[in-house]
This record gives sequence, C-alpha cells and structure tokens, in this order.
Amino acid sequence: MKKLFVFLIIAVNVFGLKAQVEEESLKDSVAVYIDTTQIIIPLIINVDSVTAVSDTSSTLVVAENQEAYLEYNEGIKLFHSDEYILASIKFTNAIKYKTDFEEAYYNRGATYLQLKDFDLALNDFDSVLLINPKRKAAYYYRGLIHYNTKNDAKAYEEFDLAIKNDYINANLFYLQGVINFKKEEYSKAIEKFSEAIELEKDNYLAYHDRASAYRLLDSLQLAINDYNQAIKLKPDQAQAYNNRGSIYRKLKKYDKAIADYTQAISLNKDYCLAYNNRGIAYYENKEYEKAIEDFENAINIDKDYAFAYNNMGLCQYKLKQYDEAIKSYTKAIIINPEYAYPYLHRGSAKEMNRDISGACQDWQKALELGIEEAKEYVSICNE
Amino acid sequence: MKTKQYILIWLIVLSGFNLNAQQNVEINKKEFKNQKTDFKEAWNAIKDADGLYERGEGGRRAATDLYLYAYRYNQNNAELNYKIGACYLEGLYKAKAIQYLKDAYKLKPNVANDIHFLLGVAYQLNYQFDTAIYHYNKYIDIKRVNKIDDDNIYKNPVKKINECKWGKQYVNNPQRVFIDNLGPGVNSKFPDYAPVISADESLLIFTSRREETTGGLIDELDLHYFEDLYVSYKTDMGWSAAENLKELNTDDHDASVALSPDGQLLFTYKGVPDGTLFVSHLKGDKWSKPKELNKNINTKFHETATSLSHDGKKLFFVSNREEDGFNNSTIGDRDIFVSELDKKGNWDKAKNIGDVINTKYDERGVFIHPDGRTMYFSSKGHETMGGFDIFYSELDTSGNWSKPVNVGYPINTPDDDVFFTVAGNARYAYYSSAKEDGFGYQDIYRITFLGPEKLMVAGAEDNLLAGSEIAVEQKIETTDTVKIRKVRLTILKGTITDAISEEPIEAEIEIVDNEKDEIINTLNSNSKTGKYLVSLPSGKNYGIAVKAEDYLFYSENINIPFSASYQEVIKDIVLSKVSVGSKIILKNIFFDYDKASIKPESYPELNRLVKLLEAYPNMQIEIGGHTDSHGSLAYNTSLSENRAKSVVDYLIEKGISKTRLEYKGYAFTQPIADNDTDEGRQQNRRVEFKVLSIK
Repeated sequence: MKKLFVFLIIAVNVFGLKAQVEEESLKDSVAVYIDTTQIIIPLIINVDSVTAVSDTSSTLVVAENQEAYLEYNEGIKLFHSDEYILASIKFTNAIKYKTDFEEAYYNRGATYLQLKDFDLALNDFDSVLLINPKRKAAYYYRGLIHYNTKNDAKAYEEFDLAIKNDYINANLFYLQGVINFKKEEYSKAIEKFSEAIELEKDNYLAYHDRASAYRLLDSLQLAINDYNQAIKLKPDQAQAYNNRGSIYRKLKKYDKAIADYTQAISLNKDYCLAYNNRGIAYYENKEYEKAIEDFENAINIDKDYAFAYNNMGLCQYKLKQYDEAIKSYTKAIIINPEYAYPYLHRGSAKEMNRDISGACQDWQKALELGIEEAKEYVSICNE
Repeated sequence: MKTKQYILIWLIVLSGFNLNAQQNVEINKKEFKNQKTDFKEAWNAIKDADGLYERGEGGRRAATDLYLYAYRYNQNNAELNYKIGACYLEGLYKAKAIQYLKDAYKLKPNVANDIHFLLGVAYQLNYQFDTAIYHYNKYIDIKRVNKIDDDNIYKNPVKKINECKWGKQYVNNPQRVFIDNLGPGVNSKFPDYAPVISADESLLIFTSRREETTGGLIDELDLHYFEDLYVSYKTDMGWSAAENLKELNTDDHDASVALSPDGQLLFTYKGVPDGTLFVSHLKGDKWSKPKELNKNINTKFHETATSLSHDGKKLFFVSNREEDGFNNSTIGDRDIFVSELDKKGNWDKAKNIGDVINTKYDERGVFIHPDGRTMYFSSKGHETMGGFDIFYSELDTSGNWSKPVNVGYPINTPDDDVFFTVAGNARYAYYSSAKEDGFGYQDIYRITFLGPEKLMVAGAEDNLLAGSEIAVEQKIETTDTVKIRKVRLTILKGTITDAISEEPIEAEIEIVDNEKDEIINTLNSNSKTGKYLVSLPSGKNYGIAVKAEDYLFYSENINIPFSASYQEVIKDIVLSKVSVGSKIILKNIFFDYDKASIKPESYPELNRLVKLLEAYPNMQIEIGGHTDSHGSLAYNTSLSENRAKSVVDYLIEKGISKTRLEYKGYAFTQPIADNDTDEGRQQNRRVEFKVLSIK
C-alpha cells in the first residue's frame, strides 16, 4: 500500500514536471555543434527537454513493472553520466519489461540522438507518438532527425506538425529558416529567423543567417544591421565579420570591407575565404599588389583554391603582366577544368599578348562551358 | 622657286596653336649680352631666327635651332627662353616647350602677358591637366588685372580649361586599342601621313615626303620634300613595300585625302592654286589623270578634305568658304559641306551640314564610313581635349546627325588629331602620328579597337549560413564598360570573270533597293583584275545585277536584316556571253507564297530582262519555272509553269513580242542543289532565263 502511494505521488510529480520542463525548454535551448562531416548545419538540441523525465530527483519507483522502472532509472543515470551506449541498453531492457513504456522510448530516442544513430532514434520517437500522439516534442525531434539526415522536406513537415501541436522553440523556427534559405526562399527564411529572434533575443545564429538572407535579397542595410547584432552577440566569430565585409565590398566601401576581412582573419588565421575576399576588395579598389598578396595567402592555406588563382590572374592582367596572368589562369584551370571564367580571362590575356588564335581557343572553351558573353568575343576570330 | 602653296599637312596638323596666338616678345640686346665672347654670333642667330620665325613650319624649325644656338650663349634670358618655348609649341615636339617657358617665367614673371597661357598649353599638351588649369586660371587673372581684351577664340582660357577637364576624363577612361606602326615597308624617316584605305583594307594610299619625291624638290617653307602619293597592298606577309604612284605624282604637292570604299576612286589634294580637290579613277592598274572636282566643290577658298559616301552619291568635304550653295553662312572658319550627285552625274550645290557637326571652331578631316551612317571628323570644338580631336556622329533614320562623340584617348591627344580612316568592319582604323618610337616625323599607324573590357569575374564565396561549411559562390563582375559601336554592314566582294576564258571582266554592278525599286549605286569591277567591292549597309533587300557588254547579266539577291552585324561575303561571279543555250538564274524575282503572282520587289529584275530583250531584238528566250521537291510533281509542274507564265506576261505587258517568249514549268526535275536542306531547296525554287535563238 505504501509503495502504491509513493507511485501515485511520483506519477503526479512526473507529469507535472514534464509539462513544466517542456515549457521551459523554449527558454533554455542550448546550441550544440555536432562535429561530423555528415551534418552540415549546427544541430541544436535542447538537452533538458530530451532528458526531462530523467531528472535524478524524479527517479521513478513503482509497484508494478518494477523491473522496467529500475532499468529505466539506471538508464537515466547513465545518460547523465554521458554513458550513452549503456544508457540505451538500460532503456531497451526497460522496454522489454514494459512494451508501451513511452518515457523509455522517448529517452532512448534522445540517447540515440546523442549517439547520432538517427535511424534508431527516429524509430523510438515514432513509437512515442504511436503510444501518445500528443507528445508534441517528439515531432520536433523527428524533425531534427530528418534535418540531420538531410531530408529537409520531411524535417520541415515535422516542424510544422510540432507548431500545429503548439510546440514551438527558437531552434525549430531557426531550422525552418535555414531550410527555406537553402531552397532560396529568402523572404520566408527571414520570417522564420525573425520568429526565432522573437522567441530568443540573443540568438546569434538567427541574426547571422537573417542577415545573409537580407543580403541575398539585396536589402544590404538590413543585412548590415543583423550582422552588427550578431557580432555584438558573439564578437569572436570570424564568419560574421567576413560576411559583413562582403556587403561593404558590394557597397564599394572598401575601407570598411577590408577592416572587416582583416578582423575575420585575425580571429581565424586560416580563413582562406576571408583572404580571398580581402584580395578582391583590394582588387576592386585597384590595389593590385596588395590583392595579389592576399590571393597568395589564400593559396598558402589551400593550394587547390582555384578562385584565388583566377583572381590573382585578374590583378596581373590589370598590371599588364599578361604572361603571369596566363600562368595563374592556367593553374586555376588545372585545379578545376570545368571552371569557365579562367578560360575566358586567359583568352583576354592572350589577346593582349597578340595571341589571337590562342585567345579564340580559350573563348570558345568558355562559351562551351556556358559563358554567353564569349559568343561576341569569338566573333572576331574569323577576321 | 615654288609659289606658296597650302600644304595639306600645314592645313591640318600644324594648326593646333596658330602663329597669332603668341605675343611678340623682343629680346633686349643689352640684357642679353652677358659676356663678350661669342655674343656677336649669338645675337646674329637671334636676329636670323626672328626673321625665319614668320616663314612657316620649316622656318620655325630653323628658328628653333638658331634660338637654341643663342641659348648656349645665355641661358638666363627670359625672352629667349620664352621664344624657344613658343617655337616648340608650334612644332612637332611640343612637350619640350615646358622647361623653357618655366625658366622664362622664373627669370621674369612678367616676360609676357600670355606666359601663363603658353605654360597652360605646354602642360596640357603634356597631359598635366591640373597644372595647365592652374596656369589658365592665372592667365584669366592677368587678363582681368591688365584689362586684356583678346578676341582670339583659340586663346580663350575658359575653353582651354574645359578641354583639360575633358582630357582628364578621356585619359582616365582610355579606349582599349592596339596602335601599331605599319613598319618600314610603309613608313620612312620622312613625314608619312594622310592614309586612306579601301573598305576591306586591301589597299592603302598615303602621302609621304621622302627624298625620292617626284621632281626631287624641297619645299622652302617647311624644308621637307614635296608631297607624293604612295600605295601599299595588304598581303599575307603584311603590307607590301610602298610604291610611288608615279602616274599621279607631280613636281608639286600631291596628297591623298580619300578613297572610295571599293578602292577605285582616289581623291587628292593639291596646294595650288588655293587648296583644290581632285579625283582619279583606277583603270586596270593605273590611275587616271586627276580631274579637278567641279566648282560646286572647289572654290577660291581652301577645300582640304573629302569623303565619298558608300553609294557614291554624296560627297562630304571641308572648306573655308564664306557661305554654302544655298547662301547659308559658314559656322566656323572651316566647316564640313555635302554635295549630292545630280541627275547628270555632277556634284550639285554644296550645303553646310549644320551646327550639330560644325562649330564656330574649325572642322577639318572628314570620313564617311562604308556603313553609310557614320561620319568621323575632326574638330577643335565639341568636347575636344585640345587641338583637333576626332569625333563620330551617326545618322538617324530621319537623316539627322547625332551629337558628336569623341573617339577618346589614346587616339585623340591634346594635340591635333586629324587624319583618320576606318575599315569597313570598324575594328581597325588608320591614322598618322608623330611618336617618339616612330621612324621619323609622322608615321602611319593601324589602330585595332579591342572593344569594351572583356568580362572579368572574380571568384569568391562566403559561408552565408552560420557554421555551415557550404560556401555560396558569388559572381563578382568587375568589368568597366566601354561603349563600342556596332557596325551593321556587309562587304560583298569578289572577282568577275568570263565563263569560258576565265578572264577578268570590267562589268557594271548595279545595286538596287528591291523594295523601293531604286538604284542605290552603280560601280565597275576593275578591268585588269575583275575585282569588285560593294558596301551594303544592313536593313535592305538588295538586288545586285552585274552587266557587261555582250554578256547575259547576272543577278544576286542579298537580304540583310537591320540587325545584321559586320560581315564580309566573297562572291566570285561568272558571266556568260549572250549565245544560244546560255542561261541565267533570275534571283530577284519573288512570288507570293504558293502562288504565281509576282511581288512588286521583282520589278527591277524584270525590267533588266526587258532591257536585255530590247537590246537584242531578235533574241528568243525561254522562261523556266523550277520548284523544290516538296509536294507532288503535278502540283509543282502547274505552279512552276504558272510562275514562268507570269514572268512572260509581264514581259509582254512591257512590249516584248509574244513570239519571242516561251515558258515551261520544270517542277523539281532539274534541281541545282540538295533538296534535303532549306538552303538547297531555296536555290531550287527559281526562275531561269534561257536563250533559245539569236537571229
């Protein structure tokens, strides 16, 4: 009788706690960057929410299916000790004792998620929803799993289901925004990022990516505003400086662009793209020698960086160093024979070297690779 | 001693800064003398130089040398430095003026009221535009303070300041060109200038003052040999060695000013009696004796430059006459005029081409491009960067010239830029220029227009999603756009020969606007080579008829849409003598689709046929209709026969006896081309004319 009493009290506590934590999870999202080549976007997992029922202070003690709860509680402890494999075994044992054990499925799903075993995790969240279709957080996690397995459409659908079931959090909107972004639906992406920001005022990622979406819609001042905010939130992130620099460059504010790229480089000495971008800013500002230096820096970081060779060729061309330019374009072509512009540019350098037949060959190749402008250039080739 | 002549080069190249522009500055003997030794020689040199100075370019060149001789004696005389600077400003090497003028000012700031103006000119010629503007502004101040009221329009510092501003703009946005010396085969250590070319650049004629000049005389006025005409031909190896055009050259000055697009008409200039234009025809390989253009063109004033329109019907020329043939006053000192051929084939009264082109300043060289709608000319007005600059203007569909556009730097310079001739494709042009790396004085150069800067695209990428390793590529185009003119012109050229002997034939080529039923141009192939060249601006359906005595005419149809860009079409034409069995394809007869009704644009061709039948009243002919292989034989036989009959009906209507005419429908039984291609089928759809008998 005593045991049963305990169970009832605990059971009430558990359900009360669950509801409470799921609400709190909106405020306590933690960004987790999963370091895997298969995952291309930062995965944000609300660990508290995943492990909500496993709070050590809420260890379940019940009269019936006692073995199942014992195994379950062991699993929770192991989960908190980061012993995910062992935890998953315990949860599996619990499920063996109690096949409709929703919390065990839920937490095993979370454990598989930590182990990046997305298929198994998905199965468990599917089971949770079969047992309890109102377990709204499960939609969100299914969305996360699909997102991480690059099934963006399915992920988006699951996130929508979560929203429909009144489960919202900043990360969910953020990831929907990212999916919209990848589909080049920049206005929609901005809406989603804005929802994320609305829920979480210091969401660096949402500010950053909303800035990028504004940038691609050519709303450059709005983009700058958001990059400014992102930089304010995380001043140590090179990426935001680099990207803001690119907007300044587009606005021909080369001093500001160069300052931003320089800051990005100071935060990340191996930031190849930032060197390349700063080189372009110098190039556009007609500071060709400095530009060449930066393209060389980019090449020192990535010796196969075809863009840098191409861009170095542009500078050499402007400096009337046509032979050097031809060499640089040739390197870009060797690295990437399908990269059309170095052919076009090499043709132009050959033209300046009075090698018209060589120029024509290169322009013809550029035309074959889809550069329409080359059509006009080859028109002189028969004269 | 020769009488004073108006040498072409004087009238054009050395007019950038005229003699009256400078102040007469006297050198004070006492001030000049600073030591006894060598004073006498130095002073005599100055006196001689002062005398020579007024005698033209040769005199100034000699004067410069004498002043420089005196300068060795005393380098610290402000007036002498001023004079040397002023001399250089009027010679070929104007940039040398700067140092002497600077020294003159340094030695005596008030050496002359116009010292700042001259310094401005010197710096402007040396591309130091900001410094030039400074000196022009100083000159404005001096004029105001000293109340100098100078009405010389070429000594207007405000205009010069504007020129400098334009100059800065042009130099900062240079045209992409190659400028190549035509080499020692063409150029010499003597002045070589005024190049003219045929539209296809096969022929170059120019003026040179080399020592083998006809008569071997030196002009005392400029101390150069007299002008002679030279010719060079373009070969696979480059330009052939220049040959003296002996049949044209005289002991006097003979200068080239224009060549017709087909290279068969040469316009020349002679300084006597008062600047006169002549024309000469190429007969075989010899030029006819130059014939003075009529009094509507040549007057008692100077006529110095000319250019013939592509259709040979308009002659543009430069003159300093006071009014045109319609009593319109001249706008500037020298203006461009136009005269049209009248019905008798004479040049009619000349008309000033108006103030869109002509300014109150001088206009000089003129060149009408074979595209029929572009004029290149030189002017000291408009937006010149100094002296004469070359401009172009385009004729719109209403016959109005567009606002002239400066062809830009480095073709134009702050000095005089006048002689300019453009190839049919407008990719190449020729001019003369005195460059330090040339062979001496002016040389002839070929300009290759490279067009706008080619597209330059920097490769760049950014990670636009935070934390993403996926880079988004950006397309960064950094091309500075430069406008380039599109030439809409077809050059049709080839050789006309006899069908049997393959000998070249001198034939008449008639170009007809089929839609307007109007002869646009008539020209002849060369009697020795059979070569011909026709300029066909885009936007017309041209009928081309080639006629020669005792030969059946040859017809060709060329439809050139307005949008068609430059092309060269080589069409060798074989003419058949009028004889039984000979036949021609009538390429300019057009029918309504699937019908036998003749379209109006066929009338010029049909009328040629009428004329041929009138010329041979005993000739009997057959008109044969032919189709392509689409459709049944019965249908095509009927269609081709009906079409042939329509032609015969037209001829009867024009008075040709029915008894002389037969017609037959051959359908597709006699194809002349492959019926599997559009082009082949088009050739097969034709009307032929065959001689059945000539009694």
